[in-house]
Amino acid sequence: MGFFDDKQDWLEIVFKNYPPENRRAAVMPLLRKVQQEEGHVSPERVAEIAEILGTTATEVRGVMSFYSYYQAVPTGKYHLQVCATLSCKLAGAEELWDTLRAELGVGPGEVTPDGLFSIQKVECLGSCHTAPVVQVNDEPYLECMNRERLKALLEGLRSGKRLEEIELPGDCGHEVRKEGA
Amino acid sequence: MPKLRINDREIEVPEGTSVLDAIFHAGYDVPYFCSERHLSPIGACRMCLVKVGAPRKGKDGDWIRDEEGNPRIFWFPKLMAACTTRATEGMVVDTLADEVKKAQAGMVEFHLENHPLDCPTCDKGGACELQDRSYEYGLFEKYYTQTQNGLKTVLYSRFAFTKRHADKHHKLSEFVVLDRERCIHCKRCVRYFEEIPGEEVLDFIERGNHTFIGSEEVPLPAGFSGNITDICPVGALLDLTARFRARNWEFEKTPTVDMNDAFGAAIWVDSRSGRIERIRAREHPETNEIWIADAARFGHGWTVRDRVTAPLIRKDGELVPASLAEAEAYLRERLARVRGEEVGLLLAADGTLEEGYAFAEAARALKADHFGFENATRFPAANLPAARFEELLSAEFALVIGDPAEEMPNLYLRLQEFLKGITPAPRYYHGTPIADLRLEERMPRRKERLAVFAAYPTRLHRFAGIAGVYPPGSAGPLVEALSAILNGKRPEPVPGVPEAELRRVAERFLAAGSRAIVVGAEVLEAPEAAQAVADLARSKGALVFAMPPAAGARGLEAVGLWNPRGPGWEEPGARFLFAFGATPPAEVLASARLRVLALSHLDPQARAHADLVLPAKTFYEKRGYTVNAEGRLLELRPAPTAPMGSMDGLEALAFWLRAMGKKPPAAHYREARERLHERYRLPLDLPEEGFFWRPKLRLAARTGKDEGELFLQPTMWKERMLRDDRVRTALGAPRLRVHPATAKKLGLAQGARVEVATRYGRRDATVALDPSLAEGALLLPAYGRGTGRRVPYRLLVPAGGEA
Amino acid sequence: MSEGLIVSGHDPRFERTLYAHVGKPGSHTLDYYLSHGGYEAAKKALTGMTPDEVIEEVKRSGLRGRGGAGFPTGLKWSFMPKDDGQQHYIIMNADESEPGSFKDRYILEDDPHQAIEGMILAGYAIRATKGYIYIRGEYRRAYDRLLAAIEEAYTRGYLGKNLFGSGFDFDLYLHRGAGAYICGEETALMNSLEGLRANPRLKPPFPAQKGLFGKPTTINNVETIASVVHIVARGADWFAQMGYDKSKGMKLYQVSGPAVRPGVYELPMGTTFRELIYDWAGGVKEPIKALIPGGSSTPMLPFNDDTLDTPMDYEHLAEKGSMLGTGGVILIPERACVVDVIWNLVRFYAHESCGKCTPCREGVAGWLVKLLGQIERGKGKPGDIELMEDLLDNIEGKSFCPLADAAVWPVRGALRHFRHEFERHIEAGGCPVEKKGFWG
Repeated sequence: MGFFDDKQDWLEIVFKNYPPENRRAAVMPLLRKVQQEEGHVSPERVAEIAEILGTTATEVRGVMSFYSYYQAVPTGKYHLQVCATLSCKLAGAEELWDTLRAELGVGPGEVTPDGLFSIQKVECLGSCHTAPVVQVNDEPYLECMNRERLKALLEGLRSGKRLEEIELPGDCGHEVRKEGA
Repeated sequence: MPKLRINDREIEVPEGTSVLDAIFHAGYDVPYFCSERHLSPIGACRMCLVKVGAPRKGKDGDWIRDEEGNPRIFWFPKLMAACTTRATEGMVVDTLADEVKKAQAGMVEFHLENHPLDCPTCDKGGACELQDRSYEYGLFEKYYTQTQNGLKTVLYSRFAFTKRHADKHHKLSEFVVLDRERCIHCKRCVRYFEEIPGEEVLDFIERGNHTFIGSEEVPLPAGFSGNITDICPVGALLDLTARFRARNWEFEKTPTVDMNDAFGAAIWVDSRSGRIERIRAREHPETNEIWIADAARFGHGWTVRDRVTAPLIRKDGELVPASLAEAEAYLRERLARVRGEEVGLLLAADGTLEEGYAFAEAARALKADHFGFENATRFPAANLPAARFEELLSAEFALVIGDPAEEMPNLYLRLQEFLKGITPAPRYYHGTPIADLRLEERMPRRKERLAVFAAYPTRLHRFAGIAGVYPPGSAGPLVEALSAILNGKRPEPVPGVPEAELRRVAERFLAAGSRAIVVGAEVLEAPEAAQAVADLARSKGALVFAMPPAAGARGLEAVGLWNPRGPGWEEPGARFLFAFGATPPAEVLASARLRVLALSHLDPQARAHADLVLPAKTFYEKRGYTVNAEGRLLELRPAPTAPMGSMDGLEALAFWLRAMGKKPPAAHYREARERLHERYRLPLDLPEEGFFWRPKLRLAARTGKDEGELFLQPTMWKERMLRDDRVRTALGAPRLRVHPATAKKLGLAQGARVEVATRYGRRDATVALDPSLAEGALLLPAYGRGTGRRVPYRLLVPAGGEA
Repeated sequence: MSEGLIVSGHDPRFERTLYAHVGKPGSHTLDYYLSHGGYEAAKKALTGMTPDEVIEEVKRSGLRGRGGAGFPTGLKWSFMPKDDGQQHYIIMNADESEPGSFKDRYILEDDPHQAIEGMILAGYAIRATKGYIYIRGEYRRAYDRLLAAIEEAYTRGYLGKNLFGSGFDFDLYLHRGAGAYICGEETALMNSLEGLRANPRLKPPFPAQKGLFGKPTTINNVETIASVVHIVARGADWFAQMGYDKSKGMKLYQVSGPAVRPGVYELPMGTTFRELIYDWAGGVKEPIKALIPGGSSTPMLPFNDDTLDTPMDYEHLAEKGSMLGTGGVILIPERACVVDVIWNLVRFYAHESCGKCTPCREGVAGWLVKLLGQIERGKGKPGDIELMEDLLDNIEGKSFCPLADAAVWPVRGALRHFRHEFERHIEAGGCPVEKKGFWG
């Protein structure tokens, strides 16, 4: 069965965002949907998306492989994306990454045996003032990720808690979203 | 027409010219990799960086001037990519400045950074743009040097890291191999597929330094894939039929014409040691531009396999080699008392004008009534007006009945240009523009300009605003119905095509200021319909493009090889039969008493029926004229690959006539050409500017009707090409396509393997249920024989019984 | 302080607008927005001004694009054709991806209606009845908030047909990116939105002639479009009294790195680094050796009095050999290695190179990043710095789009001010800086 077979209503809403003669503009939302729900985009899904959009699988793969979010290989239930660009680096992102690798025992492209975790280094997430930053799946950022907060995150996820239920200890030590008035 | 200065030369160029073309037009050179004729300029390779300045206008609308009163030149702050910069009035371009040379050398160094430099094993070696450009623009002593032990040496690159490694032998199809290490990311191939045949089957995958060419549509669809091997500037995309066959400088390169269809595409035949190894497109701006179809390119393997190299005489039921003298004696003996009327003279579809003339003259002199050429249609293509291919681009609406992609593949590419609204480019000193700024990536196709109908969905269908599929045999009724509507009469119903649809076509046809009608073999086999097209063209005004299944049809008909009354290629007739270049159907052979065939290859029918076989040249090896579908005179030139003693049609016919004690109308091509010159005022040598021969003819159409249910579907691939394993593998088993309802009636199951017997022989095929066909449809690839006809057939299951 | 130009956040005349509501409870809702004067500017323009008057007002204000390039916004809008009968598009570039920049995010998260109102105004001015917000894929909360805000706006008539009874229709769509910095380049963004690989397009044709889906299009940064709301509400003169010469208005400055209070600060254009870092961001937590003034592509400056007293605007930073960029200041601590910092940034650009043109694909993403890595790891050879400089020459100004330049500039800045650190790596055969101890 096709991934989108039971999502016709959703497709209709997505296509409304683009002119009818430009169906393929919807390729990114379709890829995202598959990525969100299946953790990666398989060649079968690429072909299915191509069919829906009236283009070729080559074109869909060309687009998909251009972006860092879409994964061609399966990811864990929690795909941890660690920002490695300058401000996060200056806040210890490399050490965070090394810790994460050691703790989980996986490298990029791998999944922990329990299927829970996979990791990826990503580029600047645009939260430089709350470095270092980690993003789990497609969820809001986890900011100022020091050792304690990382530990709490992994423990929480391992214990089966949902991401929003996990309380990370402490905070950034400064107001993060307010200008200095 | 802007005037500008390139270094020291003042030139004037058409509006919209790129600086790159202006530079070449001025006689200077500039390196480039990403630009290619007929493809959109994209400015990606950055090789053509030059220094550009232009005058500016002040607030008063006049040029800002220097102290001497000349317009002041404001130099652009950066070097500009010449390919994507428009030449404007007063512009000044410097291609020789040191900063330009340094930038170009730097870009060469970048290009060589990850290029493997495995030139010894690369088929592109010696014809590689990267090799040439590196040499011309990369290796400057002043830029890259190294000193070691006090000795200074010039370097091609200072890059001291491991090169990028990637898949080196990535097969994209039976015909094309990709070497990802050699790719320099010019994107010509990617743009080609989208822009020229309109198939998005190749693209960049990943990004940045990891970018590579990839496809999810492997094997690439056979049709137009081979052109990427011509335009690849390096050895990343190569022709597998010629893999490791020769260094480029070893090839004998013969410029000639493809005779697999009536388009008359210009080709290079690359041969070595008497073998054809490779076919490439040859530029002819007015016809095929720089493109050819895959069949024309890759379908040459047959020429080198199992050639007939000596006469063969049937002895004790077997064809055995004989000397020419034996063959002559054999023939004299059997033709001694034969009267002219008893003789039949038949010529292959790819016969030259000279051959056609000689066959026609000989038939007339002999008073033979059995003569003609292979794949002659009931209605002569020569009766239809012939438009030039370039004229199609000036039309506003085109109606296509047939399958251009298969019947005349290069016309399909012209139709793609028509859909994009591209008109012929200006000609420069260096020819075709290399960076035509009118072209863009992903230009929309104007579907509303096109209506297409065929017996099955063709490649063109998805580009057409109005598209229909009718049951085979309905092309004639469709044209007649349309003609009726256009003439204000009530149309007869057309199976599979609603009248409203036809009325929409008629509306657009009439609304368009200029129109084109493209008709294939199916229409030419329906004389009333073909006549209606001719009448429409005359009464309403329309360009006509006929796609006859015989490459030489127009010319052969015009020189008198048209035989409306007597039997021709398809019908039994004469008792003493001579055929050149191809084997007539079995029933034609079987009814004759003496069958002499001049062939380059034996086929099952010839093996079974021929009494004498003479070794024949293929069209690659002949010299002579042909007239293409637009009435253009083209010249075939011989590649040096014909086995000793093999004959062209003139020589073989002379051999036959001399055996009859008759004088041949022309013993060789030059003599025939002199006759053509005398009779038709054709030039003795083809003038540079080309020559059209479009006599107004009203030849009588042949009568008859298709009697059969199996439609022989046009395909660019020809029977003889199937001798080549590579072609057979690429094409797969022929598919017997059938509408599911029809399959049910016939008891055919999806995937069943059957043998289909027709008058052209037997063929193994796989049943493919195809709901996109009209009910009742049953289709088998024609491979050149009986294209566009419906013929009687028998189905045999593999065990031997009837299906 | 209360006369002349406003160039300090301490000036009593200065009032925060763009970030006035960021961080306030419920600030993302329509009710909150309306209770704080929301949609008044749109109403004013749509019911009382012609599109050309809006463009004129923006021109007069001196607003320049806040995405980094600083192109005059009003002028950009005036390039759009008039009465051409075609669909026009306005696109909000919310693909904020330049390292050191995170200002747009909180407008979208906490004040999404400000963005929507700005889009209505921009759309009205350029005669675009359809708008897209291209938001970077990772901004999940911003996406959720925007989506909800757009729905709310539709429900209550602030989007859709006949806004404010003016006859002007405006539809707004959201499109999420998926992790590609190049999509911040306007033509790459359009390709991405059209479902193509996000390579930059050829210019000309410019977006105003042939943009999204082949139609006339204008693309502006989030901050730029949000600024228009306040220009229309308060007038061009109000805007133009802030900042120097050709750098007008308020600006969202960002501070990251070891500051006491890293974050986003809305200040008048021309505020000095000193004021930003010490008065607003609370000073530094450790010794600093350099700062990157406006996002990762802007050449770094040494952390000294001369730099600290430089007003942060287009002209003054150009004088210093750098750029205002996005206004994202990154502080580089003494204990960090400049070579390592630059390598990190070049690695970023290498990762984000689209691969279309040779100097970027082979130069930045192939060679430069390898050479820098080699130097950083202590494997550099004498002559490598000179070789690198020659590579920079062969890349800079020669690429298809500015991404390669953006990779070159930080290297140039580092070589200008910290060449000795590069030399030390080669001489010592290694990086003298311990890489541990940054993570708390």
